[in-house]
Amino acid sequence: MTEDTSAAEIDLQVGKDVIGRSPWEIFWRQFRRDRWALAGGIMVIIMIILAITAPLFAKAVGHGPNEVNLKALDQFGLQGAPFWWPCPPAQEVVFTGGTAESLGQSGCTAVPGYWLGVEGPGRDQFIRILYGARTSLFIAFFATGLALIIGVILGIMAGFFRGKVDTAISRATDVVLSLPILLLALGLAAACGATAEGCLGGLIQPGLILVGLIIGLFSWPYISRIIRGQVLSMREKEFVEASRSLGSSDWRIMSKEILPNVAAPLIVYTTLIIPSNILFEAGLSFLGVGVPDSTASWGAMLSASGSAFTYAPWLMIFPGLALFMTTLAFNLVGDGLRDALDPRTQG
Amino acid sequence: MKRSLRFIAFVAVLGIVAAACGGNGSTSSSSTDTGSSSADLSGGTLKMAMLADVTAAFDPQKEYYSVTWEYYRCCLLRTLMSYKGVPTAEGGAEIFPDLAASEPEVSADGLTWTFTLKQGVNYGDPFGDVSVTAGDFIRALERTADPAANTGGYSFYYSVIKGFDDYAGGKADTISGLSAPDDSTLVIELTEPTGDLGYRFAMATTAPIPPSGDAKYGAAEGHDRNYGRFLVATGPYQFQGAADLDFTGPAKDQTPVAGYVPGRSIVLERNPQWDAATDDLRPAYPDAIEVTIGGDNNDLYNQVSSGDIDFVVDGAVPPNKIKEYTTDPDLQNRLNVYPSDAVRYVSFNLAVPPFDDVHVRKAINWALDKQGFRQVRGGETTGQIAGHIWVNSLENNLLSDYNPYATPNDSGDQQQAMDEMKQSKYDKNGDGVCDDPACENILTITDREDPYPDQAAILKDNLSPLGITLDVKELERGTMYNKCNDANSQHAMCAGPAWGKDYADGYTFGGPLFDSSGLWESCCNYSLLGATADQLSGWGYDVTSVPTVDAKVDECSAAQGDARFQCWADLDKQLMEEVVPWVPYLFDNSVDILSPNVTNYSFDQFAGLAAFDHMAVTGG
Repeated sequence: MTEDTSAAEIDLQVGKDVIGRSPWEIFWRQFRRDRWALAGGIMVIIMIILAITAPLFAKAVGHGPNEVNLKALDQFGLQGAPFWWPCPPAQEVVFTGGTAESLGQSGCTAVPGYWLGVEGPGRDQFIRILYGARTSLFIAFFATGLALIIGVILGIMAGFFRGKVDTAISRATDVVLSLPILLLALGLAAACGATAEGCLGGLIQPGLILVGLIIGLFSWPYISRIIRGQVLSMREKEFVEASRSLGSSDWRIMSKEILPNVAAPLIVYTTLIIPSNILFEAGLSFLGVGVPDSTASWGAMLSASGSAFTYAPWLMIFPGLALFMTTLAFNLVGDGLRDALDPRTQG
Repeated sequence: MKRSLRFIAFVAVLGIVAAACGGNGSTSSSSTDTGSSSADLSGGTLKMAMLADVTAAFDPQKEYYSVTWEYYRCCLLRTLMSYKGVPTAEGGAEIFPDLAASEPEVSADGLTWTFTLKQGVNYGDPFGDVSVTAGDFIRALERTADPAANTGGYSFYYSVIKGFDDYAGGKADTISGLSAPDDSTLVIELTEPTGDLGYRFAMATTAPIPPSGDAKYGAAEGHDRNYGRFLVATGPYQFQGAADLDFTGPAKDQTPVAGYVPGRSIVLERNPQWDAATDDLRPAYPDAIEVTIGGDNNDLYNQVSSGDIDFVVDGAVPPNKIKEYTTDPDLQNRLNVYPSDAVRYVSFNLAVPPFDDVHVRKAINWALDKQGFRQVRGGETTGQIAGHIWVNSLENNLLSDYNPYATPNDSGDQQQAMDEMKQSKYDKNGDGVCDDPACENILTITDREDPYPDQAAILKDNLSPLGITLDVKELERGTMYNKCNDANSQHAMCAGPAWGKDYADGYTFGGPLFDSSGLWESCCNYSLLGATADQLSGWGYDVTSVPTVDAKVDECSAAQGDARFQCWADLDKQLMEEVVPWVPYLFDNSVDILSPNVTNYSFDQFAGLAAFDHMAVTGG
């Protein structure tokens, strides 16, 4: 106590003002020093803006995300290249075989007006990627939000009540964690997504929501475990005891005392599972059980590009880059947040 | 022909589609050849791949699938009449005596057919010392009629035989219209004249089954569900290990042949009993045929390019391969393209609004971009734009220039479509755009494999100016055919089907596709033509009447010669202009690419596939 006081006095003596900083300010001072995290944050913001303004771009270039332009395909139905792509000079070749005769043109065709080339049956890949960002962001927020809600509620309950509640929730967590998630998700998505009726009597229809539900319902245990650990130690802290001695209800303690204090690890962890959820959606779509064709998805675009790599590499490069940049950005932000929010890290 | 179509599994269609997509072929500088100058082509092992197994494990009474039909024709099973395994121009749609010594004798009234058998044809292992006799065909037809053994087959073609239906119904112990006065004579009595009976005896369900002890069904006795795995061959090939088959014990203790592992592999070896002197239809070049089952379409075609396998039986050549093989002069001779006598189409369910209105159906016929549909399949190599329903060869080319909905470049005509829509009751304000809720989110079923999702995207694009929006469900192919066929499914449009002939006669289109005998639970009258009011309400539809063409189908199936062609052509026109159950968009080509090892190829018009017995490989 005495030492503390004297330290303050020394501070005063050298004439520095003591600035009272809010936790937000402290966080921000830490965070902005991390250039990688800042870059990640900017990328995320750009992506969100692009996703929101996708219709404007579609209007500007004149092609919607599902708009088919067969003139952007060559005579064999192969997709045209970006307008700046170095296509080798075309040669006309006559083919006669069996009863057919045709005139073919070799090489690829660069199509004016298509910034990132042509996808599927003559769709604009640039616009499709922008709309794919909407899909990814929807999954990022919807599925992660779902996981967050379930994980936080169960995690706090398990840590706070301990005993039988903890045992039940923790074992349930173990069970979900031990499920082969990808296989189960594949099965569920196939069962509910492959038939016109959906499943559970039409309650669950194929589409983005279904994919979001599947991802959300499988990623909550990670959050719940972390929260439970935090709560277990926190419930013994003095401020919780104080609140309890004042007669606060369990609900009040959980929501007003404990929840705000687990916010930091929660934010960090959430930021880190967002990219893995985005990848999960891409994976499901890649395997053909994700969102339907009318919803643009980077995973589905990558899936279609595999066989085309030798003759239309742009089909793989651009959606791949979009997915890569997005997951990288969220990971950078997540790392930065962890550093900034952890009191033990020194900036 | 009788209209007693039994249930035909979707696999029939599947087969046709796969065949159409799949392979056929190509080839090479050496012309197709059924002659004897073939010694230099013989030998070696033909390596093939299939994406999926056959549909009924090679049971001849069940297989209604063009791929299996090719295995039977080329290699395993000889029939009274058969085909040469060549394209139409070389006689590939015609039948020739095979196990029959000559053309059948037909009585003046057309009701009695007499086949005389070739002498000295023996079965393959393990019945090498047994000759084919007339009674063996009766055995096969009895098994064809037996509901316990013919699931998914095509026994309806044989209902014209006197007593066939009685036997099928358990009312008789034998088929009264079949008799064998001696071992080499088969007499068939019919209930009505049936000019195309010869074609029906070129299908494998009629192939002889050898006797085994005194069992009723001979070698097939006790194998109601799995005779294909104990199949006794008559053709130039047999399953590897057929010599180890032992039919003496109880059927359940018998070990199936080693050369066919369902879902994994097929290995055919030469049938030691086959004598080329009795068979002038099959050159039988390769010494062995090895087939792997399963894999990825694009990957398999890459393996063909690299020579690891010679040929893909049931795949679809990817557009980039079509491009590569048509535009590279060094590869052109390894690409083969032939019309497969199949049509691809979009069908309407006439009991679902707005398709109960002919003007809406016509409008879509005007609007559809057939050129675009073909483009995403791989371009003009993949077929000829269809202007009507029957493939031209089944109508003797009477309608080869006919297209009541011709549009510039076959790309659809929005103006014509809107003019048509204006006459519809679903366009109340007459602006050419449907303004009724029935036009929104129309349930449309299609295949989930390429190129159908792309075609669905084009379809949506074509129909949106008409005020029509679609709810497209992409399904696995078998599921798709089931849903399209199931009248209870309430689907409005079916965008992924194809239909191929069973043999060169218009009935193989008119009967199953448009006659009421093809209604659910039979196959494949997706438009519900000829359904009664009771049937419609039973399936849950509010629409109470749909058009019927039953009378015309009856008339055509009774007609003969040129009148028969004309009749099918008239029905075709009636369907295109008045009934409008479909938008036909492509007369399909069979497109095949071959590995560098293949030195001879022929297209078999019968199965719509490559003729496996004509394929020759290096290393022989």
